[in-house]
Amino acid sequence: MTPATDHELSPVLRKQDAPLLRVENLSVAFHTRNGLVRAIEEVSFEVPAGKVLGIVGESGSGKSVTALSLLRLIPSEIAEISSGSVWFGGRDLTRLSERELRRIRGREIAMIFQEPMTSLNPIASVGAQLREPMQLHLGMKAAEASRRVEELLDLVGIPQPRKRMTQYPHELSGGMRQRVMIAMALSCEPKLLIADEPTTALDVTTQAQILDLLRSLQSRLGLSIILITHDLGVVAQFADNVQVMYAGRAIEQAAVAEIFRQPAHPYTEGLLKIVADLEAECGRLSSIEGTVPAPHELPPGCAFAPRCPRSDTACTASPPPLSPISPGRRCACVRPVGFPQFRASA
Amino acid sequence: MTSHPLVIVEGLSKVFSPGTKASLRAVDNVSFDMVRGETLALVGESGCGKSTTGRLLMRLIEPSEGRVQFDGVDFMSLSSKELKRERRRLQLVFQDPYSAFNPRMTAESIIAEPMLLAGASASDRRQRVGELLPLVGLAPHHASRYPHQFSGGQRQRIGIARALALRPEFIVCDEPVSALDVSVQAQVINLLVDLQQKFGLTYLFISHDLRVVRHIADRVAVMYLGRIVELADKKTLFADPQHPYTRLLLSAVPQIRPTVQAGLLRTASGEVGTAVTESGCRFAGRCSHVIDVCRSAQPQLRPIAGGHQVACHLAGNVEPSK
Repeated sequence: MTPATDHELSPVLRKQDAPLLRVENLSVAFHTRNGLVRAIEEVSFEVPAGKVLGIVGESGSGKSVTALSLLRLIPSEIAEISSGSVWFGGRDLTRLSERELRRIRGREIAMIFQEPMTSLNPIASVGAQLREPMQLHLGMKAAEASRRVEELLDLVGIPQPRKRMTQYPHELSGGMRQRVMIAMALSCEPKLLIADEPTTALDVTTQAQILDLLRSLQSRLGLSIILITHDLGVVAQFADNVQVMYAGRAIEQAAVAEIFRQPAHPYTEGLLKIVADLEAECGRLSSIEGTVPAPHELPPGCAFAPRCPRSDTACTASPPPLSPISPGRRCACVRPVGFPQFRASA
Repeated sequence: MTSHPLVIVEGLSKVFSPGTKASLRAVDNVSFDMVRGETLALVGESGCGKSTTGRLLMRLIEPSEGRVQFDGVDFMSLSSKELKRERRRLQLVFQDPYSAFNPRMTAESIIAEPMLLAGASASDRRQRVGELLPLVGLAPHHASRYPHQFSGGQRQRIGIARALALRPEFIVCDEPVSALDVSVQAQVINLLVDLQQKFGLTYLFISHDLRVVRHIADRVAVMYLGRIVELADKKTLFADPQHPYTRLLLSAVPQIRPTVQAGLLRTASGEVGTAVTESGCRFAGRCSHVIDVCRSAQPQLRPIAGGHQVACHLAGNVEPSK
């Protein structure tokens, strides 16, 4: 395809500028003995085609629940999507039937997880596991799928693919297993890859190799990626845009360069200070006192207020909404850092 | 600080399942000294032998070869009874305190257990727990709670209180903040630093996280497949790493400041354990600087400048590759 300049695009073609994925006000609640407990609340974000969105947060921030809920991978007995939409290819994934959704999972949207060993089948060979999605989704015959498996293993940098196909997951190193997972995720040429802490279980040099691989595949295949991570360094290196989550809410969204230049939410600022202090070898680390509140103990106002150095009475009334603070940036704070002109009308 | 070392480790080795096909030299001829009050970090990736080294040092695992001297006492020559007494001066803080605690014990009895084993009376134990809780940032009412009622950071505080109960001089911190979230990590690191200053503690800080190590350590020893490949004071190691593996490791840490990141050094391929040669350097199979001698002779850890030791045939001659 020859690239068209902007003014030449017809209105129909311009529609392709619409984001690949758009999440609107997604809320997910878990069924517990004490009733429904909100895990994520009113989360909205977009993933443009060919871009990497990093979703960063600490344990319990709701980043993984967000990722799993996009494809409705949490069983309905455990959790329910209480409101919101997930728009992908003109359809709202929250409203599709199980059957319709199965055609999207693994084919148009694929996912990789933190611990490849628990996601791979220990008693099936690498080749058999990689063939399966292509046989199911693309109706490939075994021989054709095998040829494709070889190409895929080569694509993800696994030497001697033919030999590896006959091996079982336990015969591979952690990095190799994650490469197999990536090969499997890419086998049906998805448009979107959701990577949930894909390098957290790996050693740092292996992590760097896997991130390198994902980056090169992303640009080569024009893939969109949602990268879930707790590591701001990984986000800085890998993502185009970032969403910071805290206690089930998106509290800040920005382009990566912007957020590292000037964080707006006091929580983001606190996290960045810690990492910067670590890198700067300063004497005492700045820290964020206290801990993340449990989902059933959320304060009525901003969930970060009890730990926030800037909090005042305005913060304790109701949770501040995620509001625009400058072009392309949104922040859920009454008094964002570095944006003195901005006051949320919460 | 006196120059008289508190800890001397010499030629420490551990072979698991010796003489069998599965024989594994997990720690191979490791030597280092530590002076009182310092923090030496042992860094490396999974399987490099850093945790085993910590346990060998305390003789929680019997070494196959080598010697450990603690404050002039030869640990290897002690009877088990003597060892038990001496070992009170050394304590261990684990990565995941949740799995290191008995879930049916309260915080108070967890913290008091080392004292119970040392024969302290109930009133002494209670009093000491009362001192320890505020010291690690916990409140008195936490004493009666159970492990599952605490957050990860609070559990690590309990683990630290337990380690401090017998007033040790030396603590092996084995990945003490690796399981914690960043914001909580900072709290626990600050606590460890405060306690060290307050009590003149000496830390062997075992970690895979170079960012944390860079913050907390005085000196750093980098391990690769059972051997120390480089040892230097922190400034030197981070500013002027000599071993190709150290350089690889440092370049792999994702930094938030984009300017300092040059991307992963292409000095190495493969993963830990790839193509290990039996006779030569254990990193040779992955190293892009490899020369003939690397495959035939194992490089020994040797000083190249004051206190900076490197186990590489090319040390001092390797151009920093980009």
